[in-house]
Order: sequence, then C-alpha cells, then structure tokens
Amino acid sequence: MKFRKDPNIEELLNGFLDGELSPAEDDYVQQLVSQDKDAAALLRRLERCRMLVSSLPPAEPPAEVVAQIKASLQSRLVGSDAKSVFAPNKIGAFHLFARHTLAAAVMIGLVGILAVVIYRIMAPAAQSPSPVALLPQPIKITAPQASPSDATKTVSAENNAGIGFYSLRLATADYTAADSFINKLLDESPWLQYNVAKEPAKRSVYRVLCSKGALDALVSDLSPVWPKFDSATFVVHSADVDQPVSIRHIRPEQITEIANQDTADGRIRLAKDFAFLNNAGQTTPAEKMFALSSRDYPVLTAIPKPALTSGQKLIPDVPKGAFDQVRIDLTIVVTGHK
Amino acid sequence: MAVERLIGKYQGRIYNVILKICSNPDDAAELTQDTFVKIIENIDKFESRSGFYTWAFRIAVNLTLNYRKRKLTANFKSLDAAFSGADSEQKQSLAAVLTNDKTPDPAELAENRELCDLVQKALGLLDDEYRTIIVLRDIEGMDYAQIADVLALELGTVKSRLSRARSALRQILEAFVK
Repeated sequence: MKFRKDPNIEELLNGFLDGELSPAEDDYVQQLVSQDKDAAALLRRLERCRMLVSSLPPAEPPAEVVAQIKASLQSRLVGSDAKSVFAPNKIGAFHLFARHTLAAAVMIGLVGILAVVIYRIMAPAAQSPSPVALLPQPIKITAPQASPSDATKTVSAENNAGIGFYSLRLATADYTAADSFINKLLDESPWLQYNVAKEPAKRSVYRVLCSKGALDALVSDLSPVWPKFDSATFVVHSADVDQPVSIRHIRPEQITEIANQDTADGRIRLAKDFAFLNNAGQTTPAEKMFALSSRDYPVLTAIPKPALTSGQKLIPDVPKGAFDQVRIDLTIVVTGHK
Repeated sequence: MAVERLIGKYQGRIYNVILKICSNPDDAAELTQDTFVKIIENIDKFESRSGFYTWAFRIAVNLTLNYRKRKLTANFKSLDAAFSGADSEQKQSLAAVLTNDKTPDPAELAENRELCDLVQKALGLLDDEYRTIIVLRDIEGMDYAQIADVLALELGTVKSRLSRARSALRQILEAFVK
C-alpha cells in the first residue's frame, strides 16, 4: 500500500488538516485518502484528537491579574520608571509638547523667510511715499553730510515765523504723467520734505516744506514740463493781508522771484504785480499766451520719463542753499481734466 | 492607558496558553504577570520584524518552558497514574469520540468536563515541546509560520514536531481507551 511506504504521511495528513499544504500536496493527500482506507482512518483519528484538544474550554485569568501585574511592575521598576508605566506619562507629554512647539516655531520661521523672499521679489525697487493726510504732524527732514550742522530739522505749521505760504494749482489733461513726474521729482529730492494725498478723482495734493534754494531747484526742474499744464495758478498767502493774492498763468521764474523776497510785504507786492500783468495777458488767447510764455522752453510732446532704470537711487547735485533753513510752505495741487 | 489596554487585550490568551502548558493555575497566573512585566520592560527592544502578537507569545512560552525546566525535576510520566481516577464511563466517552464514524459536535465536547479533563491529563503526559506546539496550534490557533516565529524554529521543524506531538497524543488517548 502506498500509505505504508510513505514515512511522512502523518505529517502530510496533519498539514492537510491544518490547511498548510501546497495545492499539489493537497491533491496528493485527497487522492491518497480516497484510495487508501488506512490513510482515511488515520486522518479521521488525527482529526478527532485535534478536535478534542481544540475543544478544551479556555481558562479565564484571575480577576486580579492586572492589579498583580501593576504591583509586580511597581516593585521591579524603580523611581520614575515605575510611575511612568501606569501613571500619566508627564515626561512623554512634555517631550511631545516640546516637539510640537519646536515644529510650530520652525514653521513660523519658514513662513517668515518665505514672506521676506516674496516681498523682495514683489516689492518695487523704490517705494513712493504712502498717501498721508495733509498737515497732520511735523515733518522731519534729514540733511546729507554736506551740511552736518543742519543734521535734522523739524518744522510745523505752527512754527511759521519767516515762512512763506504758497499754493500752486496745476491743471492738465495728462494727469497721470504729470502727477507721476512731480511725485518722482519730489521723491528724488532729499533736501525737501513732502506729504502727498491722492484722491480718486484725478487730484493730488502735495505739501512741500523746503528752503528757498530747494524751491528754486524744484521750480527749475518743473520748467521743462510747464507747457504741459493747461493752467497754472499760484497763490501767495500772508497773515497781514486779508485776501491771498492769486496769480493766474504763473510762470516758473515768477514763483522764484516771489519766493526770494525777503519780507512778506515784498512777496505780496510782487505777487500783485504779476497778477496784474498775467491777467492783462488774458486779452490774447490762452494758446498764444502759453506759446509766448513758453518761448524760451522746449516744446514737449511728452513728459520725459525718469532716467532711473534700476533700484539704485539717483542722487542729483545738491542745489545751492537746498539745505538751508526751511522758508517755504508750498501746497501743490495737481488736477486732471478731460 | 496603553499598558492596561495591552494587558486587557492579551492577558486572557496568554494566561490560557501558559496554563495549558504548565497545567497549574497559580503558576500560570504568576507566569502571566512575569510575561507582562517582561513585555513592558523590553517594549523598546521590540522590533517590528515580527508581529507584537508573536513577540509577546514568544516571551510567554520561553518563560513558561524555562520555569518548567527549573521546577519539574521529576515529570509525571505514568499513564496509569495519570488516568487512575478515570472511570469506565469516561473511557467509553473518549473511545466514542476517537472511533465513531460520526463527527462529534465541538460544543458537546467542550461541555463534557470529564472528557476535557482526560484530554488535559493526556496533554500533561507529553513532553513540554510537544505540548507547547499542540497548544499553540490547536488551542491558540496559530499557523505554522507564527509557531515558527514564537518557538524560533524552521518551518519544516514545526511540521515534523507537530506531527510527532499529535501522534504521541493520539497514542496516549488510544492507549487509555483500549
């Protein structure tokens, strides 16, 4: 009989009962059992023995086994190790908290670095001053090393002894270009201080505090674009005069002359003269008036673009007297119209 | 708490395996305690190469077998002495299970306390290594690979040892009913 010749038959039969045979071995055992009664009988006896063992009821552990295990652990482990097994693990909680805190700090740091990188990429090379309300606070001015004695000057609207107050109202059809030019001009003139308030309806109000020399330079810089303005009105204020003097069709050199008068009376007197002269000019058409008044200036077809092409600040030559004492309080109003 | 959950999950099965191997409830309770203490003490040494389940049972089995080696200087090997208290009714009941063509109902077998007592005594007559492998397979229900992991044996050794163990148990039981 095949069964008696196979020394591993009982091992195979056990594997068959336990489902641990390969498919080939399984087929072999099934064929053997179907053909050999002795093999089938042995398989049945093995199965019964297996059933007897597996039918043994499970033993329940004593109810106090957990308490005994705890007690055993407490006695075997020493100090904090024993407490840490069953008591809340404070050290672990502390380490977890520390890890979370460290991770949060790292994340915040990474976000900060990322924000700086993004800012450096996105931010403009030279920032324009933010719009601020006019006359809210004293404006500080820092002079360059050329005049260290005037390192920092602070003026306020209340400290107006010897200061000339003026308004310059400029109207232009090309508001964007004109306003940009003035803004850039003021921004690149470290010897004057200014605030700007930009209104949505094409109206910008600049308040400039500067010395007489700085005003001369500013007016000189504005001269090339003067014809671009459709109207230019200069107003001279004085505490001694009830009504301010308004000069229509003002020309740059007239502003300089008025501002360079030593006394308020002198400024008012000259302003009235210019007002009379310029009003007389109204008898001729405005275009002719502008043409005449701008004869000495190049006719601009467009406002020149700033020469600055990089983030490097353009530092022009310091005008004569630019860092002298502040004597000028000038409000420039740029208005756009269709 | 993790430790209490761990004990709650495994204490019953570990206690049962230990008891079936050592056949003494007091020793089983003490060895169960020792097993969990060792598990907790060595939890940081546990490597996930094997499952926690087999790692825990390896500790339990090793502790139990070592305990048995130390304590049992004279093992009880006498068949007649082991079954001296058995009556003819128990013999007939066992013979019926082993020889009848009809497959017995496992639930009925579990409820037959006398029969279970005889089987437990027969298991007690086996060598520890045979009893252990039968307990792991037929009581705990481990597959051969898990048994190999727990006992640190080759798979072929598990097959052959289990075969010899069952053969020995079958011979003990059949000798009793003759």
